[in-house]
Amino acid sequence: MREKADFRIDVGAAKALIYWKSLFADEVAARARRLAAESSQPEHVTLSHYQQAAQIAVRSLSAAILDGGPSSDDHKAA
Amino acid sequence: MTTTKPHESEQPESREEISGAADFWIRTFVTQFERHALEASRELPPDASAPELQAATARAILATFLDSGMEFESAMELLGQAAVDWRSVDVPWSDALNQRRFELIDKEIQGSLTPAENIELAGLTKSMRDHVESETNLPMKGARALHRNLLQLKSAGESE
Repeated sequence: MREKADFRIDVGAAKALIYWKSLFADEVAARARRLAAESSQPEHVTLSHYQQAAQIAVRSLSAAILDGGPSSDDHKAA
Repeated sequence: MTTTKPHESEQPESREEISGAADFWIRTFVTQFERHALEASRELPPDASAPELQAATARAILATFLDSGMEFESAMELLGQAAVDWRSVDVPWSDALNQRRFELIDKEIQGSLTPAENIELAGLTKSMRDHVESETNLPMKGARALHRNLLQLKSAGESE
């Protein structure tokens, strides 16, 4: 599980990555759920819903990245 | 307790779907765990060894459980029960497990309990408590008979 790492990473950068991953996952899950709600099986979220949702969420993520990462611990999940 | 639990793919009850609530809970837990792991890693030396990384990870897992609303003792019991489950194919409460619990209690009294045994003892205690509190071990037969009698008394009183 270890790789040779002779470099250092800013904690702010590592925090931003955690935040972006969480943001992307939440966005995909929420959008997929909405897509499923509009389908013939509203309570069944499929891989297809996730694929469609992910393509949209990538664009949202891109905008969020340009806006900057988390500035504090305010982004903590409940 | 020398057997090992079958791998997840061999579990007969494995499903192809998970609930939305479980998905949300897991994602939230993982994100929170990542934050704690990052904080824990800030305290490590640049050349941290694998055991140091593992210890930091364990602290992050515990911190995440506590963040999720668990009390410390409950978190320890949960980890202990998971360890007991992992090492046993099936864990119906038995004389052997009870005997093991007594052995660990003796060691605890003698002050020679290792940290791993401490977690195992917490898990065994939870398993025992679950067993004792399960419906099959409660005096339900007597309680049901009493309930029936009370209902009969009530209906008799109403008909008078």
